[in-house]
Amino acid sequence: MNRNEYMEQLRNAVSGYDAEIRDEIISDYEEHFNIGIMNGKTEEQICSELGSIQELTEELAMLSGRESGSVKVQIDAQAEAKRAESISEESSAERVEGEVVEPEGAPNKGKENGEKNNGAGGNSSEGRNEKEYYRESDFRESFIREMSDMGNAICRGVGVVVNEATRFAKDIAESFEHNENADPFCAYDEAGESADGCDNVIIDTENANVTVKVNPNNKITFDYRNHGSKNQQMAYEFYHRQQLNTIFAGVKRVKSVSFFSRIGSPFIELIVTVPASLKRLVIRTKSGDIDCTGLKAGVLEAESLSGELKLSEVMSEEATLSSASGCIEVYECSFAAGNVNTTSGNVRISGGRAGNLRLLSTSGNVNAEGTAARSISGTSVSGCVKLRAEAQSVFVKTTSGLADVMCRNCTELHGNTVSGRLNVYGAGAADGYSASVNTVSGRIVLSYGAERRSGMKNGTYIFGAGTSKYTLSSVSGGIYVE
Amino acid sequence: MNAQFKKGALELCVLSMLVGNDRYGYELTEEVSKKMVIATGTLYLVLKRLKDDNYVDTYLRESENGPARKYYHLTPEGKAYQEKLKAEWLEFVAVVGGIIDAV
Repeated sequence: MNRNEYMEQLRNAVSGYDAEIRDEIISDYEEHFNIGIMNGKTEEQICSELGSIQELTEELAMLSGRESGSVKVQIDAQAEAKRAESISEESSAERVEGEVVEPEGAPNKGKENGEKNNGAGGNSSEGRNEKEYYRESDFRESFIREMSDMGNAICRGVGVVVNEATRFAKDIAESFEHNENADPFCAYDEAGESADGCDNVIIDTENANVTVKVNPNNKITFDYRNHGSKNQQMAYEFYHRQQLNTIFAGVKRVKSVSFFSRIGSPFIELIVTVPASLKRLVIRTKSGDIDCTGLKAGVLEAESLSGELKLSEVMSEEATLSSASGCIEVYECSFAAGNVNTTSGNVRISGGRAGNLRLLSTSGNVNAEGTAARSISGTSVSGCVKLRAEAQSVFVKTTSGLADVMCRNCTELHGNTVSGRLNVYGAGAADGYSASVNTVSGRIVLSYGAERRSGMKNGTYIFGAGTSKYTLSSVSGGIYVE
Repeated sequence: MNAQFKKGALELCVLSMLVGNDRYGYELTEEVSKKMVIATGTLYLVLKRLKDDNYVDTYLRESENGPARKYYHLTPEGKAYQEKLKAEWLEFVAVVGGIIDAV
């Protein structure tokens, strides 16, 4: 193709646009040809470098669509899809989105649709906001298209893409509403613990901080607050549904939102109120914190990947608290059975009561103070374990960390370390103790009252009446009982 | 590569090439097409869009040999936009890089 042929095609392609756009594009291309030829290129070479007119036409349609304003929020998806189909059987996804945004300057566009959309788009100030958003984040927008394109490549037809675009536009509108709506969202309005009352609550969130409190009116409410930027608000949505007597709620990512919006987690809060007593409460979050106060749950599961857990005055038959890297703090709680574990965070239990309490951290410290329990076990691989609990049965185990146990009222104590030192206080407060001690290279020091013995070999040593049974072993850590 | 994705990247490239340095269209297309395969024609649309958005403005300057050329100049808004896109891009690349390196 030579220059004249190419420019002829270009003129045809831009003929439907305003003179201002038309002339500018044509003069840009003319200039490009002039300089290219001056630099020794052939007309054919320049034509092929410039690329196909077809591609340009599509780009142009999108460009002018953009100029006509924002993506309109209310679009009749079906009508749009039909129209798009009729225009071109093999419309690309980009092309379709070009249609969706109603390019006013482009040829072949029905005017009546544009008006309808304008009318449904809400008040003018909202329209401005959206427009601003689009201008600022066109780059992000391209990723949205990227994603819907990927889906499109698999099997979806034109209509679905339009639907997606519509849904996306709707999401924007909703996220704006969320932003404005500061009042708590009341999902379920139960009069007391009625027979059909929901007593199972399952909360599953991406990165929201979840706070659960008791509602004095026995209602279950959710208050979702996304404090992120507009983009980040769009990237997440609150959901809830009820199935029999279980309520599922949480915050999830909006699938069609761009990668960029997913980078940098916004601060999201989900404030939940529940009746004073639930059968089952499950809270899962990936990066959010979990905070529960004052409630009662038959089964309680709280799990966060990197967030922290904090429970105050919570009662549960069976409580499982876990975090991969966050700390777990438990204040004045009552658990019949409590399992607390974290990989790299610390565990801290303060006060409260428990039947069996198992505390585990891989690299963090485990600390229990002032807790009354039938049995308590504290395990850490590289962290320290410090138990100042009143328990009948105590189990402590570390690899390299210090194990430090108060066992004033315990009748049974198992202590095991590899290189960590094992300290036992309050030994045999009642009727003396019997200690079976086993170490490879650690020093052994056993005291009872004024009696103190050290440097012994492995074996069983009895002090006083020997009522409490201690089994203590280490590889290289010292064993000290007093 | 997806056309939209590429165009977003192209926008950032063009803006970045204009930082501290006014250039004419042909110059920009030559420089970009040295490094990636694009239909250079689309670059003029990118430029037009940037102009419409007030990120660049244009002026004509006489050249030594031949007619005047249209030069593109980055506006303060354009500079801010370039910085924003650049930061987003780098963050994005870092995240993707982190994921693919970890596998």
